Amino acid sequence: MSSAGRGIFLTEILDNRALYPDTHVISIKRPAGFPDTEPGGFISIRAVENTTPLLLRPFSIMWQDDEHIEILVKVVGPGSEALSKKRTKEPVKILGPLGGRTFPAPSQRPVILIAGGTGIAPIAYAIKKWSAAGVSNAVLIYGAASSVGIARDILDEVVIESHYATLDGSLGFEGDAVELFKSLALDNSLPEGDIYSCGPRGMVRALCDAVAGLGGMYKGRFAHHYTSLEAVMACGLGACRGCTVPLKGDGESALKTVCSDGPVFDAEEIDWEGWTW
Amino acid sequence: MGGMDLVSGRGVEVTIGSAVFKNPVFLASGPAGYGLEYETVIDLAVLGGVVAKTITYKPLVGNRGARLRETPSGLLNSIGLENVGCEAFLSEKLPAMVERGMRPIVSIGAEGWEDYERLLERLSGTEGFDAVEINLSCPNVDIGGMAVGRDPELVEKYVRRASEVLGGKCILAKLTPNVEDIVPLALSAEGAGADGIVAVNTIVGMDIDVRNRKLVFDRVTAGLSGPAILPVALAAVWKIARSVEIPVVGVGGISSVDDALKFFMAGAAAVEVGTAIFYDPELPVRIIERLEKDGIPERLSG
Repeated sequence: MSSAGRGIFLTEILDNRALYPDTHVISIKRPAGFPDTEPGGFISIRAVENTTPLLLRPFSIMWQDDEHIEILVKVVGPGSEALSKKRTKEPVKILGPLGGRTFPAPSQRPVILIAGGTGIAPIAYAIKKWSAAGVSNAVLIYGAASSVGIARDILDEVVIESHYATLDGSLGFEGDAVELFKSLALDNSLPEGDIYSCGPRGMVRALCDAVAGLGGMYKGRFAHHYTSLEAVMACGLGACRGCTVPLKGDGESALKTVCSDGPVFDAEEIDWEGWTW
Repeated sequence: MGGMDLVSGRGVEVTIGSAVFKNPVFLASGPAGYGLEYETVIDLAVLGGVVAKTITYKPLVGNRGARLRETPSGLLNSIGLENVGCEAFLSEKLPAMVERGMRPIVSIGAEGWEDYERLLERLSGTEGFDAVEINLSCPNVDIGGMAVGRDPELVEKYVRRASEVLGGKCILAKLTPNVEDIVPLALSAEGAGADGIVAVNTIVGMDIDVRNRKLVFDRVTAGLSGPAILPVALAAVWKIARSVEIPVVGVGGISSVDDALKFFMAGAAAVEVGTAIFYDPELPVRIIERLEKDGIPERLSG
């Protein structure tokens, strides 16, 4: 994604609705001049006016149209908590759009979208945007702790083949999204295609292991696996070099920045073992 | 909106050694990289100077492990001088900075004396910049950085060599606050030919991940920046400004226009904004506008 049009914008909250107690869909007025984005693109938001917490908070764009930019905010600390309390019409400063590499638009090959928890945000954007563009051969696998965490309504009216996994079995498959993926793959219930994932690091790593572990006739079915990563960031622009992810290299793994080299990476290239931070 | 936009009829230029800067508000080394990454976010050409990320002779990959951790009104970092090295800096970054109208101040660091001499040799006679800031104070590397900058004799040696090799350019020495008394370091730098003192670099700190019973940083300690360190930086500037004849550039925790004014009142001739660029990129411009409107505050006596 190009940096053209990237900037700091003063805008306002249009709507803040709790999907469930600790997770909010926040709709922000799209500022004049804010460029179009691709799924995987993100913005950073200043959650407070004072300096604790100090840094802007990065969020994947979950939806964007002429008037809105939507993000999914799960309360995990003081920054997200402050954001979750923002009211309609409250002013807010955003920096964006950010991200050097977003999800590639699907080719003719089917896409298997796999989301865990709030990882649904960029995946939902991809589903809605690409459905509108006529992409129909997509399958969603979406996991959460329980049915409460499965935010089906953020996909609006877009219908694609969807499979749900909940740890407590309250909706769909009992287990996590990766176990559901494996079971569907071995069942021949998934098309041969590319994987687009976003979720907790453990989920994405397990997904890589699962794909690698598919032997025999299943080998090579899922040629590409793109994943959108999350990290603590300071600048969001690639300047400060703070948000590193190690990629497999010949010797010691190479350090890339999640904000500007990603957030989307080829999952197979990530040095999961070496990523100890 | 240049430095000579005389809203109130006052000029705000500052002269340090041989260099005249159009205003006394610089971007500190580190947070904003080579300035280029912030290109579309803020117009860095309006600043008096942009101190680029510290370069070393060869590229450095920086530290592994977590590199950032927020603290109350602060930020711990352990980047470890990741940089593109002097060749790529001189051939790519520096020309791009100049082309975009920035006034570059080249920050230099080294992994030891030989490395330092090679870097100085490479920089001597090079066009495109007229000011350097010697990073004698990075706390996040084993060799060079703060290890050198804590010793007044080594400060003297490093600054003197830069003055000899880069004669004619403005030489700034950036000092560490991680000493009992920063004044001897400033006096050493001045005696060795520095044209200005930059105070301060980050303060050594650390954090612990309680839930996982784990150190946050692989190198145990990191460098603290942000509003939390402003009082420390201000005291350092106050003391140094009363001990040396050369200009002092104040840096550390500036988070508002008033914060910048405090440094001038403490005796600084210029200020650098660092960490605040992350959460308030427009702050340097607001500081410049205020200085152009009201003039540069006079230093307090005492």
